[in-house]
Amino acid sequence: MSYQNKELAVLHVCSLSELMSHEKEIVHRIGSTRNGGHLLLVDSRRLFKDIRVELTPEAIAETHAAYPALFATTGGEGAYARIAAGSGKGAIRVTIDGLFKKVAS
Amino acid sequence: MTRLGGFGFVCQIRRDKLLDLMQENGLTVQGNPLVTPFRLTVKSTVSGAPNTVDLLVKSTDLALEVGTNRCTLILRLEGGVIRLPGAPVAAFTGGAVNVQLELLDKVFIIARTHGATLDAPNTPVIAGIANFAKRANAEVDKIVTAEKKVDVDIYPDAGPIKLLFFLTGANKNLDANTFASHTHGADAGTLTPTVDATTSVSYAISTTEILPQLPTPADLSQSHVTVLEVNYAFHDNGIDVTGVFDGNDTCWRVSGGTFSQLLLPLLIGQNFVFIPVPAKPKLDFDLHIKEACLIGLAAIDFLDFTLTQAFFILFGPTFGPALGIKRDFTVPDTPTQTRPGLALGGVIWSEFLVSDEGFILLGDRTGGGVVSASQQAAIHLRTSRTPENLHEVGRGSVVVQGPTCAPMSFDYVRSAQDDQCTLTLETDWVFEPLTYTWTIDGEPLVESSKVVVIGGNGRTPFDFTGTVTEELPPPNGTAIPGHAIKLAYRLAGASLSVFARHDDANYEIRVEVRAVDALGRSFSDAVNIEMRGDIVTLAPEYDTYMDACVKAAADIVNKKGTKSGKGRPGEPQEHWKDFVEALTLAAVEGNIAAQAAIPGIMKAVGSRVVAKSLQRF
Repeated sequence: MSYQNKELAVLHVCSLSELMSHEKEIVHRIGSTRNGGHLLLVDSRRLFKDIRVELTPEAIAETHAAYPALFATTGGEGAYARIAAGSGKGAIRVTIDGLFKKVAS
Repeated sequence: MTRLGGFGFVCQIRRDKLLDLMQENGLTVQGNPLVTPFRLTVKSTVSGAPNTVDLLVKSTDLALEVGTNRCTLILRLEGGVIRLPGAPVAAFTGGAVNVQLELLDKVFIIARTHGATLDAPNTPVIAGIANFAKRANAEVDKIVTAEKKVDVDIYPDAGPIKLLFFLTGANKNLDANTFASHTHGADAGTLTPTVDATTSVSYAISTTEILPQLPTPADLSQSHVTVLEVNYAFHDNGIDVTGVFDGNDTCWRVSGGTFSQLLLPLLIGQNFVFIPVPAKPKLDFDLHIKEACLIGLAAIDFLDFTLTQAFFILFGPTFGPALGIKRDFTVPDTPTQTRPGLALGGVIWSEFLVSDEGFILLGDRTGGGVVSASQQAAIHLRTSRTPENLHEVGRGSVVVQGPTCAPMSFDYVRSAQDDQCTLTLETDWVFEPLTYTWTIDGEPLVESSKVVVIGGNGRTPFDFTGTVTEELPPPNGTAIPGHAIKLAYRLAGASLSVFARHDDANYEIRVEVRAVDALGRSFSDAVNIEMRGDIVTLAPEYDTYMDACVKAAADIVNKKGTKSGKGRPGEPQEHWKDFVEALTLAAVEGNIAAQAAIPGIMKAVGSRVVAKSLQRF
């Protein structure tokens, strides 16, 4: 089942730097999605598709190499679907504050 | 209505069980355990005078003085006699002795005896004695002189409660049937009974005492999880445990999360069991992910697990001892919280309840005290023989024919004596003074002190005409009817001595005594006494001969068919009198052969021997 939000504009991402440049928008899209934070933890690759962030294979590989937590989780379809539908640990709300570790300047 | 009334701990015991505790654990009255019947007496200060107090206790009861820590041990009386100086003997039936007891504060549970008073029915004699109650009570109080000096622990196996109540406990009877011991807290005046027909013991613990024993937020906090607040709400369905926590790690944080779980109380075996519902606590929190990290998802399970584990330490090792509960705590391996129950000697707990006041255990103390023996007032005649002047009067030989045997001659020695028998009276549970009426063969006797007898060593003659028996020839001797028997007696209250002379050979008299005690109750006993002046001792061969003859007769009856008079190897060698007994028993039980043998046996061994044997059955 697709949970893609077709109202969102597609974000085409070809590299890690492009992804990082869209971090604020992506975090916003996750926060606007029901149980989006939780879905990110379960299957970030699937969530990115649903919030219409389309990454090239090169961008995925580059990002995963730099940030192993991203795109590493591939939760089962069932878990993702239940969380997306609003069931599961309903009293637990996951808020994503950022995608990338801030480097002290 | 409240089970705790402002106190931290309350133990309630039903009145009858309190009496059982007194009975089972060494409370005494004049040294008597509370097992009826028993006798209470106070000796007169005048040497030789009868007891001033003589009371027979037939049952016990306990009355609680409501609102105090005092009670009255009621000793119900069969009756009693009070002898006050210068007053007539006050005998009465019924009544009671009331022993005043205090169940001491600051200990669990120790009884102190303060005194004893008499509650006697108002008889005309008692009504006529000035200040009877005051004077009688002064005497009756002496029965607890020893008990006043020694306090008695009536619940020695109360376990850790004893320590918990030590120095701080206090006692109060809530109503006529409920004793309560409490400690900690302050009396709100609202404590109500929790024992009833099926619950004889209860033990309540307030939340004020329980809560400090439960884990604090610091106790529940673990690495990465800080429990900020934990609350325990007691209600009729159990204990709601709720709390607030923060959590954080390198890439996540939780602020102000909450957890909740219901603990359902149960009593399984004699253990407290708290079943968590649901099995894991309900969590409600916002998990903030600082950046995408591998442990982000794991944080959810981590918190779930961590807070579940926190419940494992609820009612932890310090919980039990602090509440007077057993110490043998074992860390559970499931979320179900099992804790050893309360150890209170002899009590089987049947319910463990939680309410907004705290915990309450309801149970029953097993057993019903010590069963009292039945009490039967009676008198008994006892006899002792002291014959005098035994002397030989002749020797000779006599022919005897035993059953199944040929006649045989035996040597004998004939002796004479002046037989004497003293009868004394023993009494059970009767009240002095007793008045006696003695008779011999139905003829009343007169107290020797009331008879002037010239000569005769103070013995009163008792002449009558009857049948006497000379011993020869064996076995039945020779009956001499119409003989003028000269018997004498000496009678002094409960003792009668009878004196026969050898010239009257052998005869039997029947002595009967009737007694009336101070309460007017009548008793009697009687005994047949054989006065023996003529004695024939046959040579030892006689017994051997008779053994063989009678055994042969017995074998015929038993259809053993043996012709031998001697016992077989290994058989016990029985005396001929044993065979006579066996034969008569068989006859009584309907053995036709034995019945047919009886006349022959009587002829051989004498009718008296057979008659005596028959009387036993």
